[in-house]
Amino acid sequence: MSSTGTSVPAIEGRSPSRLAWEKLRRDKTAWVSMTIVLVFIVMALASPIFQWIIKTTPDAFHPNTLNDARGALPLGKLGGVSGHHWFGVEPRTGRDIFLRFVYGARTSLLIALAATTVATVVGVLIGLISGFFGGRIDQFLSRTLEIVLAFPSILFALAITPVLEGVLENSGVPKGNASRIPVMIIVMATFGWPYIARIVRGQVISLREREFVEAARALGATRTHLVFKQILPNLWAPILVTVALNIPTFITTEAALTFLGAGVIEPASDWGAMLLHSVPFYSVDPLYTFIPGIGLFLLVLGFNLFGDSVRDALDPKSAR
Amino acid sequence: MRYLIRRLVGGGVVLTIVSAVVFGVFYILPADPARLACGKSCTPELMARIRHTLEIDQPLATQYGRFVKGIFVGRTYLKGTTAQIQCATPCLGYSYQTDATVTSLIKDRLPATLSIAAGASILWLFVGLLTGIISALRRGTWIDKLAQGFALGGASLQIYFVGLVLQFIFVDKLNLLPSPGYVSPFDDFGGWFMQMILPWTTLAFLLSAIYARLTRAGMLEVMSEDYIRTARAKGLTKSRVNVKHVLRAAITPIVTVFGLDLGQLLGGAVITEYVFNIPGLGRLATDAVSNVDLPVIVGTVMFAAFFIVVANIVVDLLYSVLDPKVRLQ
Amino acid sequence: MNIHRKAGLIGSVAALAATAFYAVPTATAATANPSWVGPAPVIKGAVTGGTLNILNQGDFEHIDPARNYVGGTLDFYRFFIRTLTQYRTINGKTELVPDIAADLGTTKDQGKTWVFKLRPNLKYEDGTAITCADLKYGIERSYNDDILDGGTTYAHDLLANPTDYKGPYTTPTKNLSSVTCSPKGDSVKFDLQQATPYFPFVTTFGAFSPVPVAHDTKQNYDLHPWSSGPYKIASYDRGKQMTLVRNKFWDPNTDPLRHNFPDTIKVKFGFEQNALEQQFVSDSGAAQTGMTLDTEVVTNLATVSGNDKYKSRFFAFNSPYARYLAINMDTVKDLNVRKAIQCAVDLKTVLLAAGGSAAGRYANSLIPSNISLAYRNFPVCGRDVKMNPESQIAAAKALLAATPNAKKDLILAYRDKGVEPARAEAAQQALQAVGFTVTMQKLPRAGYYTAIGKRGVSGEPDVIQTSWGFDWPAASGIVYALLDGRTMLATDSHSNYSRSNVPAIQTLFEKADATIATAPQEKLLGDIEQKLIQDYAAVVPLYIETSNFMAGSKLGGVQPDGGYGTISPLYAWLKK
Repeated sequence: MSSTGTSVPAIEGRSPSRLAWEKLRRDKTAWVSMTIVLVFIVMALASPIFQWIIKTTPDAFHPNTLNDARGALPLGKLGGVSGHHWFGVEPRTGRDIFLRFVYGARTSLLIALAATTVATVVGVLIGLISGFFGGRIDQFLSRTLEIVLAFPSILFALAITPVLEGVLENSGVPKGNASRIPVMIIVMATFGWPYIARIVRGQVISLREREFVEAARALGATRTHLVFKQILPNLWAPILVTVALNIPTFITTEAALTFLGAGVIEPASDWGAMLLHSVPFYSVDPLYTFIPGIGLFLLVLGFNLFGDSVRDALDPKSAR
Repeated sequence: MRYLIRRLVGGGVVLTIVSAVVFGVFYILPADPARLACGKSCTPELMARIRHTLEIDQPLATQYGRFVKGIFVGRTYLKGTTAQIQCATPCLGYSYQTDATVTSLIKDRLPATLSIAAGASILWLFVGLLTGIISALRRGTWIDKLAQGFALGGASLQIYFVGLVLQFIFVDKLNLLPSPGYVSPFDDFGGWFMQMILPWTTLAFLLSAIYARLTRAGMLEVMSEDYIRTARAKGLTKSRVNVKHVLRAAITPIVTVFGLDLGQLLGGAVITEYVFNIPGLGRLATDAVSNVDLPVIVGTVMFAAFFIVVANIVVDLLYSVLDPKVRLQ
Repeated sequence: MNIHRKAGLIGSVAALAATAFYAVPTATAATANPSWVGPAPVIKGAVTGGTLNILNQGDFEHIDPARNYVGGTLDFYRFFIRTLTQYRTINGKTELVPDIAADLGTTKDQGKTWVFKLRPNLKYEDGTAITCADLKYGIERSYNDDILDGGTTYAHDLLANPTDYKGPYTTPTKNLSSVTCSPKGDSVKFDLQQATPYFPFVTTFGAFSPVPVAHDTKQNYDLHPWSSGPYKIASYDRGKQMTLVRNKFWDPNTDPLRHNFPDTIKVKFGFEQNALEQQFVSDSGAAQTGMTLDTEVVTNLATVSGNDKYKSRFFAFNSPYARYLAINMDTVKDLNVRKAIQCAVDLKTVLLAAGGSAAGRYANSLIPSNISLAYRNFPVCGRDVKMNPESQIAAAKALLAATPNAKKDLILAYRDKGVEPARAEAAQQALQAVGFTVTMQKLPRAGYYTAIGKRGVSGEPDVIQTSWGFDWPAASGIVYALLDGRTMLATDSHSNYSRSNVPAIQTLFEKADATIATAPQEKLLGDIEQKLIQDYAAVVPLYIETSNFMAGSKLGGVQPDGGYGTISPLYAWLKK
């Protein structure tokens, strides 16, 4: 399979998924990136444990760590880094940056994964329907997709968040993050599904006329059977790649929305919010900017690298 | 030609639907725009009058009809009992909060956004293509690895982080550049250029990474195609093949992405403007969102959507020029 | 008493300086004071000439005197607007002085009618005479606020209004009969709805300035108010730049408070906060001979305050704003719970969240200590908050424990602006530490003050984070607006955000209304405020905010203004 002609062991029949897995397993980048991602996931999951170790909460103020006369900046070097506050404390509140960092990872991952799931389910369904049925339905769905893509997404997201939030609150959802986070997921998924739908649609169109589908159709299979039993199983590779590459996009979108003020409501921890708050202090307390910035960079890089590896592994043409 | 007309009509339909959605959504906002405009000493009677001048007392369809009509033939807004405000074509609405037509607000802010978009796009296209080409031609060498590392890093970084870091280094620590902001290049070209350097490089750094990846991948794919091998076999020089066939074929998808990115950016570089304090369209829109200034929200979103749709059409047309394989019916 | 104002503008309105002393006008004082005659007191070292630059983020909201209600602009537009009375700040001392009036007004019926003598020989920028009729016309047009929106409503709220009087544009045949000029035109008389002892403060606002009918361009007057002061508008490109040049018809001998040192004053708009701050810190370009009227430009206090390098150009002084939490007495009916809230809130973390001691000073009262006739230093929750700002956890817990079925679920409303969310979180932390459960209600900037005034709605907040900047430096400009429940509606608390409406206090308010002289009234209002804080726990005062400003190194004469709590360009001069 490989065009670079690496030594081919004894010839044996192997399924494509098996091949992909083997390829992925031999890919060093995949291992590194997977490790990065896993570290963040474990860290996010373990945040209550850290809270227990440090014996404070991410929301607790620590006024004694701040310099009252100097604009309430952290006392001590490097933004107040100490044995107790590993990453220092937040200016003006004294909240523990490490705890806010690990809880922030949790927020980012949770929202990004939820948005990815929603966008993927919607995108795959619409792509399947659009590609399989064609004709009017395809026309309609393709136009819808085009219209969604014509919206200036970030701008529109900022503007529509309070509107949707109001709608949720009026229907009885409590104020605050209970309504804000679902709104973020909906908004992000709304602008995310078209990309997935487009890829799936293309794949379905090429699969639709293939022999095995024709055969099943000739045997009198129902449409549902054709779509879900014949076509969908053949789509998992492109879907997987799209998902892997979508997660980092959603992570950055989530941070951007929060940075612009349409995201998670404080005191809940969030990297975008940390970056936003660090803006007035970046010149006097740069570490406060760097911690969430680097965290975001590493997590996104990890997912990007992993996504690349998965794609390479699944793409028979790829040569690395 | 027929294709162009069809695309234009299609774009018009998309814009109409976008405008209807935006208009409908924002005019069912929970906040009452009349109450916000009414302000001090708000009597029920004054409130009713404002509702009337803002036209909130009209059915939504009527309001929308007038909005659309205003775009094409202009319209007049009432202020108080006697004053009238002329809003010339293309009238995108009138902001009672800032006492200005949305069109004039957009006109004021557009130069800043254009400045960012123009400089940054030239820079990122140049750097991105160059890096991608070198990477592809020297595949596997240390240059390629470095370029790929740069591309991956850039693709994983955020404007609001890199922007702050660059400001910290070049403005606060080294004092090499002034704080970013915006002055008109016609008033102070040097100042404009110096203040734009950081926004340009930040945006270009992040976006050129994506273009480098695209270019490299595109070129490698084309280079493995049979016709390139044939061309080589026919004895064409390597560089001639590279320029004539490979780059030309590989550039087509990049044109698409570039058009779309530029379209998005022209509608307001929201985050860049926010980080670098540049009063462009993105700032206009975000400020309008926090002030619940509905006419401005609707106007700016419409304007941004317009750029995106236009960019789509231009990209499609360019496609036919660049790629002889694409034949338009 | 209808002190109804646009709450949305709080935070930009008038204020006082830390060192200011207020000469409260005694209601019967008629004796002319020699310092009321021009020219204004000499400013040491000041020289004439040059261009003063004023660099602002945005354009003035309004400069039409009937429409402006913004502190920095009220201070600035004195360059070309003269009002009936005005503030004068010299050497840190602020006093009320007559401006186009010749005295501070006299009253024979305890403040229900006021007569002001007018200064003779005043001229506009075209050399025509300023008349009493022009002053009356200026007041009249402020009634046409459908066209001239913005501005204070004091004329309308205080004067005895003829039926259906809507201003000269809408009702040209009607006459604002409560303002009358003497036959010779050398004095003006005001008939008020009720006794208003603080009326001479009110006449500092732009509605009480002369406007020549011939030059009134209605809503366009905002582009060129006809100058009565030392400068006139030479050009005004809205949103971009305004240039003021000398008005040769202004006579310093008729003006007790203005100077005209610079040749030209250039106001430029459209700067971004960060860029502006950077320019002032680095003292570069136009900022070297410039200043800004915008508040909250110097945000990087960590760099600037306490650094000797900036000392001569950095100004930190009491702003007008009292930041406080209003406890909703409609929803938190139990006094002990309100007291527990008062004890629980930790002023230290709150002020730190706002930026520490550079940002403000702890407050026990909503009345700043400079308002000496009304202010008193009483303990809150049994401690002097200035010495002991920390949360009184034990006291709060004890209060809650002593209350059966105490309301422990609180909704805390705050505005999504600047440091306000962080301050609200600080309050939330402290309240939760004593056993409350606090739900945060983050509200958008726009319409905040309308939202928190709504009574009887679902999700009505129990604790409201808000602030107040007074319109004139006296308790009458604070206590009536914030704590008087008598004008409150069932659906709208107005600016009485704690919805306080206690019968015993109402009696005191009635007593204060009837007080003739200003000083006893100030004392009574001080009593009312102390009682509502100590005995009824209606509010939790947090701190009085400090304003931080910077000016260019080549400017002299820049000073905090006691009348408006802003940095004043009025005496600025350019160093050679």
